[in-house]
Amino acid sequence: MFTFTRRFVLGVTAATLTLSALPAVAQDYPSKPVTLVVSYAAGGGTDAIARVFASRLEKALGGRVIVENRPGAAANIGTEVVAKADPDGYTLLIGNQGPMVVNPHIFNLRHDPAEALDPIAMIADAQLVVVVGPRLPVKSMAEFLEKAKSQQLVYGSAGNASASHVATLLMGQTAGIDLKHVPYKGAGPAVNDLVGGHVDFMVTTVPSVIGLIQDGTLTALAVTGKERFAALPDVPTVAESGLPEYSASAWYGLLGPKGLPEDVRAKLAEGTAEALADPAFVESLQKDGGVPSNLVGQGFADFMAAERTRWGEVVKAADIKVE
Amino acid sequence: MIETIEHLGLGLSVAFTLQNVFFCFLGCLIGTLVGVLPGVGPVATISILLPVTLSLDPTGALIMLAGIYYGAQYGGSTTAILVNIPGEATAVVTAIDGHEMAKKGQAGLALGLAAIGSFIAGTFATIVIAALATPMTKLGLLFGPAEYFSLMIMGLVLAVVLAHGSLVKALAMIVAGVLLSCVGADMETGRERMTFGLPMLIDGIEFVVLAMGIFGFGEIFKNLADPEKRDVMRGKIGRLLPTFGELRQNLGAILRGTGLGSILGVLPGNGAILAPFASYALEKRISDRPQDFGKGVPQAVAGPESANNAGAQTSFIPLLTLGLPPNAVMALMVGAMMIQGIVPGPQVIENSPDLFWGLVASMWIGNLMLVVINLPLIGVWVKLLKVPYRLLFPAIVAFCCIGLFSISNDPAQVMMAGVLGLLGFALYKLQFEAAPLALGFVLGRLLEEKLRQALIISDGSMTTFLTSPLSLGLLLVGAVALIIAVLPSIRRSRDEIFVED
Amino acid sequence: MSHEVPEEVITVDVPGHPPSSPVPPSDPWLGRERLAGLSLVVFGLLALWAGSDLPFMTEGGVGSGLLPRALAIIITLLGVVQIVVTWKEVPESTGTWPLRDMLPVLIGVFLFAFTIRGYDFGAFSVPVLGMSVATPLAIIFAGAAAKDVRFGELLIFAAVLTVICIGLFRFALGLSLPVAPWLIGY
Repeated sequence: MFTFTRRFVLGVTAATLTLSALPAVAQDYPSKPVTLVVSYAAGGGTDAIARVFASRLEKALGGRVIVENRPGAAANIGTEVVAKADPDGYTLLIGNQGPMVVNPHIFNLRHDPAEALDPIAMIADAQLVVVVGPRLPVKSMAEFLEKAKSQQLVYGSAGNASASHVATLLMGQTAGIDLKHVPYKGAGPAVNDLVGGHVDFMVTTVPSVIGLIQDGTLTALAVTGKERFAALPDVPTVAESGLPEYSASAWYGLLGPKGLPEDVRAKLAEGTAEALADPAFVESLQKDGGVPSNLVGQGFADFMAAERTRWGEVVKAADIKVE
Repeated sequence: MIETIEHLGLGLSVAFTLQNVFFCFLGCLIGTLVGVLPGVGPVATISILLPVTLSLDPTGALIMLAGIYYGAQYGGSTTAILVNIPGEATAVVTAIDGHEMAKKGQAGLALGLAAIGSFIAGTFATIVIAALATPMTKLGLLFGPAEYFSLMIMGLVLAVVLAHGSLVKALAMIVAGVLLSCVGADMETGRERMTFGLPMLIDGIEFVVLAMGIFGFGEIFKNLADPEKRDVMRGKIGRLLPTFGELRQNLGAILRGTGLGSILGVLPGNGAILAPFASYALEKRISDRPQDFGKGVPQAVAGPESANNAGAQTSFIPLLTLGLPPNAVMALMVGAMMIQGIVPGPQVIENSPDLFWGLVASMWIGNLMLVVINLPLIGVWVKLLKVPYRLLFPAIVAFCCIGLFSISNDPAQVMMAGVLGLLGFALYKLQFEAAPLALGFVLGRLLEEKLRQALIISDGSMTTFLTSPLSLGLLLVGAVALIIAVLPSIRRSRDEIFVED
Repeated sequence: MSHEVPEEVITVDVPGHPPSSPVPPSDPWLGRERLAGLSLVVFGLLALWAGSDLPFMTEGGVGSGLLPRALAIIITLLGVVQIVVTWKEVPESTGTWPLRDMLPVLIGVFLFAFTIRGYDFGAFSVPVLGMSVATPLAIIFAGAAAKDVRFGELLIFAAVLTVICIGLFRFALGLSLPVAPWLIGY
């Protein structure tokens, strides 16, 4: 029994080696299905974007793109899987703000995303929105900041070190106000407690609250991006309302293992651009509060480096660390 | 009232188009399939199908996705009854008496009661959604962290009632379940807790892994160790469908379960998981032979199954009225709505009444479909039990392995379930019951999360649980239930001591 | 309804099953109930040790160690209660623990885990073999645990079931499971 198994395994090993020894040539890339790793379980926001993106990229590349969920350890597992993969263009990563630029400041990572990954192209930039619920009857950002100076306000977040958490931290630090953080598991339960009046406010993704804003259940005070958001034209940016330096957004990009062949990387960047030119995809991004990005290669890498420095300071000032 | 009927009429006219009935049927069929397969849940299925729904019209897409959800709820019970593997937290209760019934040759009765109970519950819950969605929403919003914590405490007390053996052992199992739920990264600081440095434990133990290990693999080990017992129980297979008399005897349980499930389903953060446990506890309390619970009592299947299904449906209420998803499946439904250009929230009823009421009506049609799909399938399932065990259990092992791996594409989960299977066997040998452990585990997560949130908000003051009237009320109910549960057993053990003397 | 079959079956069950291996009057000094209590004590102490590095309280809230430690103490105490309460009972044996009969199943499960996506053991690594190898391995090893195993039947069954599983999970449900990367590339 065992000898059979061992011989079998050895034979298969040999077969696999021959297969992987073939060089990746861009002309026939992709010659087999491309795996797009998502560092979150199926069902989250990043997963949804990745799946729609994968279906567009498939058309652009003319080969199959399979989404593979590798969740765990605050999205660090997915990063590691791609960092360790062969740089042949068949294992790619959907990276976002958390694991790419926030986690390196919080965790002792085995693979630094800046060194182990090759940024191919940024896909979208999604801004967040500051909302207050029935427990805090303020109508504007100015009123809000006034109130926050006289009493300690309580905010919910989608989780420790989530985009929603660090964006609020930055706001508190920029405005010099002391805020109390209540972590939830995801935006859903946190918004529920905001509507129920158990916490004062939240900085969260647009899709999680837009219906409640339009209905008047929640009041949107400001959006966190550099420009106003198309679906909420009357809501100013935080920068417009008294904190000029402030901006925060969650973003999504396509990355691969370090050392991708130049032609494969160019083909992927082209494919991403093609996907982003599809009005249906852009529309679905916009519904998620995102705007398509045009950062490619080095531009995306520079953006990530800048983000990393910026959030590093925020995280250090708040003393978030996991040993 | 008339309004409600009008609304349902509009909904039925939308849902009863050929196309939408087809989508509903397709959804229920896929749902039943993924529910029956251990490990593959509705969350993974719906997210995979999400891009496909882009090309469908919004109502059809949502009807299909909703069908997958409650189809999976129902399919999960089938696996729980037949092979004692609860694929979801809500099926743990069904497995207790349902699998015992299957062992006694009453698998058909158990499956039939589950199907019919679910249908009755689904019908009632649809009416509840149509008539009471708005006031029920307010109920859900009353539950902040403090109230939720108290509700979980009450739930844990109910878990004591679940047990049919020693009280001390049952308590120990509940506490052990809560303790196991603490393993993994801390939600507030991200710090690793009790992981022994094992990477597979950083995100905690998945419920499915625990359930498949302790119940699924544990049951296989148990049967391999005691082959004689297994053969006795597999000897006969009874009638396939419940008789009218049996239905009548279980109608009370079905209705009580439906009521409990309808209320608990509305709670945020997946309060619906409490429903079957609460129903089981209630049935056991009012039964005239509580000592038989755990040995295959039909009411212990009919009640919790109805509660489960009613809860699964009323958990749509926060989604429909506020756009707030109470669980991961509902979060995906929000995603599906967004993709279709519908902004989930209070305005959905006004802006797209045909979608809203069409979806509500399709729930009822979906339940009808489930009966149509599953009643004939009962015969097939029961025949499955006739497959020689020497082939049946390797197949279960294979399905479990694939399901476990597919949760997060991580082989470590498969190994962990295998090791937990040994734990399940040890629990059986030491006559510990696994159901209270599973409940403690499920409630433990929420318990700690809500405790910490409540104490952050209250600046660490414990009085927050007493100053909220709702929270205080729940704690009092829990205390009374605990006293009622403990008293007879103290009295009994005293009697036993006297007997011994 | 209580006049139905169930009661009968249970009573049939107990005397009906012959003493497979003569149940040894083992552990006369320990017995099932006290062993259960002892296990709880060991489990509680283990958890107490595992969580001993966690902070009990933090400023303005509960520390990550509060609940685990409190629960560990409760379990230990319940274990002690269990031992005390059952001390006077006549010890009952837990019966046999035929671990050897279960071992093939565990081996099958672990082989599945090592082969489905490959595994790095440090000294050597298993390549990604996919469902086409992992599934039959799990079925054959697990099936070998049955006392009435028939190997010819089992091999055919494994082959058929593997094809069904690949069709079902990979193609019907669209899960991203590797099938046979060494043969067909995915």
